[in-house]
Amino acid sequence: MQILTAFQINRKNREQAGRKLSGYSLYKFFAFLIVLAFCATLFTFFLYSIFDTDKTISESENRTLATRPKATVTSIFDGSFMTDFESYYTDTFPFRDTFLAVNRKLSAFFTGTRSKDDVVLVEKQEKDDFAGQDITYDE
Amino acid sequence: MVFSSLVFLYIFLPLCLAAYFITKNIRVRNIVLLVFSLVFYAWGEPKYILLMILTTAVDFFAGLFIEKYRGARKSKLFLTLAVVLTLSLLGLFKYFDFFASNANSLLHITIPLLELSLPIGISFYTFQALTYVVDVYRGKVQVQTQFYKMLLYVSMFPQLIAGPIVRYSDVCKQIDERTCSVQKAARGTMRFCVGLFKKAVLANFAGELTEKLLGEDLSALSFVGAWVGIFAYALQIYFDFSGYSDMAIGLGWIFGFDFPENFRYPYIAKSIQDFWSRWHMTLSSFFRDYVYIPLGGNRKRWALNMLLVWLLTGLWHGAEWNFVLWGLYYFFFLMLEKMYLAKYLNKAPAVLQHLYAVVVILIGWVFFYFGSLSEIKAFFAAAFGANGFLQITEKTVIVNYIVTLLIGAALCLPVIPFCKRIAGALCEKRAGKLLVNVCACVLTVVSFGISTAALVGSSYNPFLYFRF
Repeated sequence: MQILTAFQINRKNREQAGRKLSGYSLYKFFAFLIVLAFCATLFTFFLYSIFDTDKTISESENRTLATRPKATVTSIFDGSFMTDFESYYTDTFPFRDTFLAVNRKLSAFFTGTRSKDDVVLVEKQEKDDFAGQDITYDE
Repeated sequence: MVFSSLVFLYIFLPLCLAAYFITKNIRVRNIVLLVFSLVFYAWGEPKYILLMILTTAVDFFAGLFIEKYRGARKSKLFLTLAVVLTLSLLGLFKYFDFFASNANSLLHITIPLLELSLPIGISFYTFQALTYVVDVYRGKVQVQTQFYKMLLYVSMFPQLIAGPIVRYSDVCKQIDERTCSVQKAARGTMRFCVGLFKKAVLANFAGELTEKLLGEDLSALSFVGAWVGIFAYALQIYFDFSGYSDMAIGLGWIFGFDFPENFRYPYIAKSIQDFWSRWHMTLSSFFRDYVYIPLGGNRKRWALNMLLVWLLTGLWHGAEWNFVLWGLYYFFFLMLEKMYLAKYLNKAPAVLQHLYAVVVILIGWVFFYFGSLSEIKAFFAAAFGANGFLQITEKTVIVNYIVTLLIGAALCLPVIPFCKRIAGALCEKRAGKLLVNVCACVLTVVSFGISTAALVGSSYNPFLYFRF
């Protein structure tokens, strides 16, 4: 009886130790879901960006967006094609304006850029100026 | 290419995953991974890809000859030849100009500079190739007879450009046989998303703060500004580097590989010795096993060996004097601890141990961040109050970034293992396990979305003089 109890305790301890080691565990369904969600996101954006028409102008930024660079032997070998392609792809990324809005919120959270509230005191310059250009008077 | 770019995430990665998982044949998978790795490298460095292949070839053929002449003297000859050739390629592209320009100014001679741009990841893949050839010589691993497998090992894109430094012995078996499972891929995805979040969000905001405080005129930097600035830099470099390692390890799991861990919450170290067993672990263990021990380790001339290893560790981080100083700085503290400090430190309360380590580490980053001696001097003057306690402009900046600082500091603590323990306890009950699963799912998707937004946001570039 005593031996059995000891054995049982031992087994229980071992089981507990095993559980501690493995930490948390995922159901196979949820593991599958995570992988699926990740891949679905990657492929959706990949396919979407192939078939959508590129915007050429960003109203919110007041600028023309980068256009798809032409691949030539020289531009590939000196790497300029890749750099241009990166900026083209980022500029015309699907739902870019939505992502920019999310990023503004993110930025506001992390950096609290409440630029209107921020009053920055700057010491008064000794020089006189006209529209930012220094004025010196002939004495 | 880097992981934190939209082209990688939404073009390269889906294509690579599709091509990889369309087949179950390990040979085809290896070739897919090799081709994608070469494209990955060529995307950033179209010309230097030849250099990487050359380095690999040197060590590959040396391995064959070492095996052929095993036991004979020629075996050692080929090892020496391989090590010298591999290191001279690294030396030529990374260090030649540094030594040449120093020799020029010191000896008043004119060695022409090469002015080569630094090939991406050269410091990492050179060391990886070296572990192969040295371990073949030591008989620790079997010689690789197929070149494409060796090239796959050296060029494998998850760990190619920023570590961890994977040894050939870590992955040689996995090249021929590895298991991919949904569970492992899910964990890999989660790890990847955590890493991406660290890099694209946390490191980025910490970096902005660093630039705002330390990137300006140092003669106006105040006491608080200096210390907060260097703290922000410590956050930036940790999240950047460990985030990159997380992404590498996560991608490895997705493809069925197990890469070694690289960071173990370095900022909770209790001593500098402890810090180096937590920071960039694959680099320090490389230097231990391939430099320190062959030199004689602790047995003979250990102080000299230590000095050499830490000089090299410093230089490995960059061919500049400030990195040499950084290495020597750690040499000094490691020696100090070993000879005098350790016995007092062990008796001291834990708070003091942590405080000592954090202050030493923070001061260490000063040598890492500033490239010139004059800047380092100006920073220390500021850090000891030469320019006042706190400027009003700095105060505004610090208050704005307070969330970044707090969250960053919190995430330097082992928060994730703590959450995992709680999750493990919750998993005992069915409802708890369901909750944990749902949370894991949601957090992964949300963090990935936020990171994407942050990457898109990096292109936000308002231009005022448009259509004028």
